[in-house]
Amino acid sequence: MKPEAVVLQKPMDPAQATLANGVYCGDVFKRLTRFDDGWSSSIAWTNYLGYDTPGEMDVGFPGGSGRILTRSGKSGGGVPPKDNFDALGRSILAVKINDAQGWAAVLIDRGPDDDNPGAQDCEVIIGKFADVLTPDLIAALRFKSYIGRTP
Amino acid sequence: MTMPKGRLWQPDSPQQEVLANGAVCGNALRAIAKMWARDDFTGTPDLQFFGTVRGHDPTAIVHYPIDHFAEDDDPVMSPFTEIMGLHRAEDLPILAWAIAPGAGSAAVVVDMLERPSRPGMESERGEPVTYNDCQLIQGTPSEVLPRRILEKMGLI
Repeated sequence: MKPEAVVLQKPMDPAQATLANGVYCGDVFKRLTRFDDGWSSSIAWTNYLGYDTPGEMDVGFPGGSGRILTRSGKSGGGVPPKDNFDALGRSILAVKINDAQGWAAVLIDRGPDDDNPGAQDCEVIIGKFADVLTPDLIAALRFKSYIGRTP
Repeated sequence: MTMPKGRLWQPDSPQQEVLANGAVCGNALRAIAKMWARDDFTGTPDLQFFGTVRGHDPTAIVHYPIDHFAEDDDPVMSPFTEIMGLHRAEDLPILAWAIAPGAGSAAVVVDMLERPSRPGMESERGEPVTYNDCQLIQGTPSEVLPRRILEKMGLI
């Protein structure tokens, strides 16, 4: 991603550049995954893509609810959100599904922003389920019918 | 408008949560832009619902400072809010904005410059870890946009 990063020519501090990167990614994420094009609105935003209680993962619009799965087989004490990796092992901040097309969109923490020292960057990636999501996350989304609804 | 936070259950780093905060604001700004684009739609109600053809392209409604303030100031810096008394948001950096077709409404995403700490997140030295947050503010263009942006957008 460009340093539009965004947006700021001289960020007041790295955290502000990080915030600006997030704004840009959230905008792009929303823009590329239109409901009209078949993207699910039910999990359009994963505000809490982590484990609310041991073994459960929250997915939903901000303020909404929607636990998608109790992942059996995980040990007690909850599974750290680090397990919410994309297929390349990067932390997922948001996910959205286009079931009919077999696509997933993920907003990921991309790591250090090369254009803004000290800041962190994000990226929106869209691809086939298996290319973007881990088998574990695919199973979770399938369990709650976010994947597999479309005949 | 009170924004839900992009709080993560257990972020890898404070910056990851800042990213999430920003993403919530950017997501909301785009949602408003889409709503405005559809409001401006001139076709039948059914087509309007599905957002198909005509109407404004929401892509054109969202703006970033870098698109308008890139090289014309020295030092180059982001625009700041001005009179935002009702929102208690004066002198905050503007990260993005949107203006509705017809310029009857506008929205800005600002860095709140708050650095709240989050319980449970401490630095290695045991100090509270703070993180940036943003806010989406809606109003008329003259209410929420500073003069610099109003001029750039041809609104004054």
